[in-house]
Amino acid sequence: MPTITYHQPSGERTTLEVAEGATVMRTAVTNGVPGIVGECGGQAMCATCHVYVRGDVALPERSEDEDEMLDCTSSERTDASRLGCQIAVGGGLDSLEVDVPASQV
Amino acid sequence: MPGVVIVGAGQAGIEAACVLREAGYARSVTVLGEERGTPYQRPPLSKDLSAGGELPLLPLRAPRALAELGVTVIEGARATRLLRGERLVEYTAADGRPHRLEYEHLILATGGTARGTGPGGGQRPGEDAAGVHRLRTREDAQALASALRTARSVAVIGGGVIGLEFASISAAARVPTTVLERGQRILRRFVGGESAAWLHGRHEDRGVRILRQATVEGFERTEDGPVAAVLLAGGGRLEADLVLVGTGVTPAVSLAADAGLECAGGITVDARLRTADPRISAIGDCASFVSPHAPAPLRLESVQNATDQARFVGRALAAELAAPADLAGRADAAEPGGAPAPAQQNYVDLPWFWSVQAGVKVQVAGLATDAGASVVIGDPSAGKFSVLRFAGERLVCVESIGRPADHLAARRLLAAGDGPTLAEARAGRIESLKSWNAVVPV
Repeated sequence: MPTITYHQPSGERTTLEVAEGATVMRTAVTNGVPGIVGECGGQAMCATCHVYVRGDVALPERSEDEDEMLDCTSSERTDASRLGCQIAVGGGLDSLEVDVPASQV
Repeated sequence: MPGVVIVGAGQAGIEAACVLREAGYARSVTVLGEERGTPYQRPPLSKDLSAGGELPLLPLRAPRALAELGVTVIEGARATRLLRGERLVEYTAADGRPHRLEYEHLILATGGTARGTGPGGGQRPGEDAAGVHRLRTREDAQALASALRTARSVAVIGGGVIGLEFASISAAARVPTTVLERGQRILRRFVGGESAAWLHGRHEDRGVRILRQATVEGFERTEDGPVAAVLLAGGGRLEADLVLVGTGVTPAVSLAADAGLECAGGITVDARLRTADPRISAIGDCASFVSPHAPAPLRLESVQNATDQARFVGRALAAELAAPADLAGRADAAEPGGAPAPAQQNYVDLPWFWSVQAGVKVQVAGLATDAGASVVIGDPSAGKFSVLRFAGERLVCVESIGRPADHLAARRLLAAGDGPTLAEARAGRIESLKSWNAVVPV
């Protein structure tokens, strides 16, 4: 099964086995991983599921919606910034590691 | 020492509970939720629904996360009475037994129920037939998704956000779909005339039929009971084996009203979201509040409204209830003629909304009205434009279709009371609000 690993600012690490197509946001919210809110329900409207993706992984390009939302994140935007609701594992991407930012709101 | 009790486990109630904790509130936080199961997010129910697909369920917070925060959610608990003098709320638990909870502060986040098609939101004859759906809860969404799998023709009553989101989904599933709108145009409470007209055309291009000035009078049933047709004023009859009633929400005010609290189109609260009883707040879909962004008291049904009001009340209460003695001491110690005690802040957050329908995302910052002047920027023929709305010279609302940068810039500008004037917009040099924001000195 694909896996998603969440690294907290505290250094704590959570690795979850997920189904193909599971998004970083949905997996975190469903499993109670702290620091990822997703209050708009995965609609790229709220920027409360901001994560930093580790490593050089092949993810789909940011849509204009996502790109604009990332300018509104609570924690600083970097080249590794993505919205957790817009990135998923599966389709050749078997594992994803992300850092959870210090704040979302 | 009693803690905070929150009635309602929707977006507003759960957010308020979590914010209280995150802001350091130390006494108990208890949420009474009428539905059973983990409290969940509503937007995906209408926006990500698909015929026969998996129900797009997403918890507001995972049960483990709530437990770790120290938030107690009592599922299946129906609040039945407030005893304000004793600071008690009575509720019926899932097992039918009555209980009482004492509070030091009560937050009403009771939401609302789906309106019917009849006067005052009641139901018309036949509206209880099988095949006539509403879309408010997880169970509603489940029933609707399953009905759509076998539906032959869909009638949607009400050309509002929920109705048109569902119409988009059913038309995309190749089920003939007709929207019955009572008024002159669709989406009256969501966008102004230009955007509504554009979306109307776009829906029709995608196979949704929209009938305006169509008043529903009743429902015709087949012999074995399910709905067969919607009956219209003037003798019209529209065959449908799946009907969605999307005529809005009746706020759940009875708990407050029965306790003698003022309710006018919602539970009346002041600029700090308090009822006349200072120990009771109301937030989210059920609250009628005052806002600097609106000329009259208003009630909003949106994620933004629920979460922002929850955060406002949660933070205010955490500060206020933490150490009342300290606060009193500070006030006493203020020197005459010195800096005045900080004014208690009001809730002033900008309303914003979004919808996914007819294959586009519609984003609205501020409250749309057709009252003032408007200027369109961008290219409607390419499906990428924003409508700027003005009250006099002042920008008050921006509706964006396919222009997320405009929407986010508008949220910042409107929240700051900033933005181009009508004259500046009419001069025609605004290509995008984002760049306007960057080049014009504040």
